[in-house]
Amino acid sequence: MLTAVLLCWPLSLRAQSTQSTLFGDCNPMGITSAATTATDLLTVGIHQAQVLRRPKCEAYIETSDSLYLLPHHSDERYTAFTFDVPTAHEDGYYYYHYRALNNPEKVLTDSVYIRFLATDTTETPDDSTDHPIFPPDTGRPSQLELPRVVNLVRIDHHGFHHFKVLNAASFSRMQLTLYDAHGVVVYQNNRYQNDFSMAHLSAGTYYYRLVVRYEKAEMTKNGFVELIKQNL
Amino acid sequence: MKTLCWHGFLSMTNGAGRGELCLLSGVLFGLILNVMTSRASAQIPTQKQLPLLSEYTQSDAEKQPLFWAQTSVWQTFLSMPRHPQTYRLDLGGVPHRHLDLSGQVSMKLSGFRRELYAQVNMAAHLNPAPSWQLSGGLHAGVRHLSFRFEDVVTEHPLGFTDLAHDEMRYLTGVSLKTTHTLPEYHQMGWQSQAFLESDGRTWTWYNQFFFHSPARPQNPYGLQGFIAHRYYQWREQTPEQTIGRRPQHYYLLGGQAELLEARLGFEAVYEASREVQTFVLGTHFTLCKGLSLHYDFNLPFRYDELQTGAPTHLLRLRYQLFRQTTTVPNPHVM
Repeated sequence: MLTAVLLCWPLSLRAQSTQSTLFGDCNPMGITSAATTATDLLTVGIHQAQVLRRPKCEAYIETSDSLYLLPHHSDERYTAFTFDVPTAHEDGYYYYHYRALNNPEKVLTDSVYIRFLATDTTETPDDSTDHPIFPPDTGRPSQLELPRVVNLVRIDHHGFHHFKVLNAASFSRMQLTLYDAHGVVVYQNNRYQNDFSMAHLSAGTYYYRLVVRYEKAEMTKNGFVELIKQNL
Repeated sequence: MKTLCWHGFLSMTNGAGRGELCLLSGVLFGLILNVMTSRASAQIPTQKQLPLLSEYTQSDAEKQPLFWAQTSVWQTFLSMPRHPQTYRLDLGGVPHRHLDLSGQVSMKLSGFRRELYAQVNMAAHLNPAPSWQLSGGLHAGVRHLSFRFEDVVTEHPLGFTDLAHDEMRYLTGVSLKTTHTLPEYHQMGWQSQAFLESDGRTWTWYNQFFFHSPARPQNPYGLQGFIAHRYYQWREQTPEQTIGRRPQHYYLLGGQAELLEARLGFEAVYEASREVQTFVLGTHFTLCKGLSLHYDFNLPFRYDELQTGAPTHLLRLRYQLFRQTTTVPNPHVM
């Protein structure tokens, strides 16, 4: 069983006691909490988090706290959280659950795709059963920071009408593809720098595929941005 | 001389004295009008029509369905959270020889948005001359838009609670269509629709010219092609903004084929505009008498660096009930 944790930093959110209490019967992924005990989680000193790994090499990371942001205009709502990568370093989708503070009754699910980049091409992955890709001494990534994207934009005189990744400085490179709700690509940039204005677009929902580059890994996050206009 | 008035909208004189008010299929009107009901939906018509391919299925004037019903599911970005999806129910029929009624109820979900829409349509049809058909329609709709905010991340100083509100909108529309049909050669026509929202500032105008090659029984293999040109223009306004969209032209080329005594059919459509192209593949299968299952696959793409978009899936289940054919016994045979 692999172990991974989801860090909540800064830890300004209320702690929960056990996984079963947190998710109860509304676990959206249908994941049981038997893989890792609460004791293990507390040992690592993290807010309750849990990684479950299914036989088909997909890791599901369950978090037990409200990772997202306070609905107030303050810096706290932009709290970023980091992602302790599984030790196996296998490419794939990693799912996590969280509760939004403005609707704590509901458990939300999100996912990211992580691809680990080989730092030394001379290494052969054939004998990597114990240490699949990155031996411990090769400086493998231990934590990844999840991208935080503004998902509600209103076009008005206030000027907040850009597609924005709040923690863009944490990534060495961002690749953005933005679609409208009908699947048409409306914007694409392989080196995005938070400079795309959505002011000329029609109101509606837009979907994005964001690939952020770390030093030794890539993470792909899919999501949506709601664009509204005053007195829609 | 015969003057026909219909709900104060259609007033026509048939000088030949053979005027006969009959009905074009409300299917055509009812199904494509949803394109015009949302301002956002007027941007790329092919992607917003529900369904797309039925728009080119001209109903036989001699086989007006007494009743028809269709349920549709439209989805894209299936792997993404809160992906756009539409669930829709259409009902229609010809309760009277001169009146065609249809209606629809749809629920659109996308991101934070929740949109409930309902619309009713009435259409009338006139044959002013041999091979010519003229039809007009009135339409009314209501839309309720709401937002379900969860996990909002925004930089706006108002915070998410004050950014958007529920709203109710009403919409009225008129349509006019003329068709020239020669069964051995073609069916061609022109269609125009205009819609105005209740705020009085938002309107949409839509025109279409189309040409269809002969269908069955002139073409025993069920092969039929068509070309069409569409023209959209619309304007949306808010107290602070006036958003006028430039006219959009779309050129369509498509064809369809039927197999197994028309139980199985395939359609392909290519639509080109200045910015976006769309390729559509559709198939339908008759499950039993009057009941058919349809699936359309839409793939938008662009020739510039933005290239291929995300596919859209449309699944429809359609039922049609036709009147019993009245057979007059031939006394000479007996």
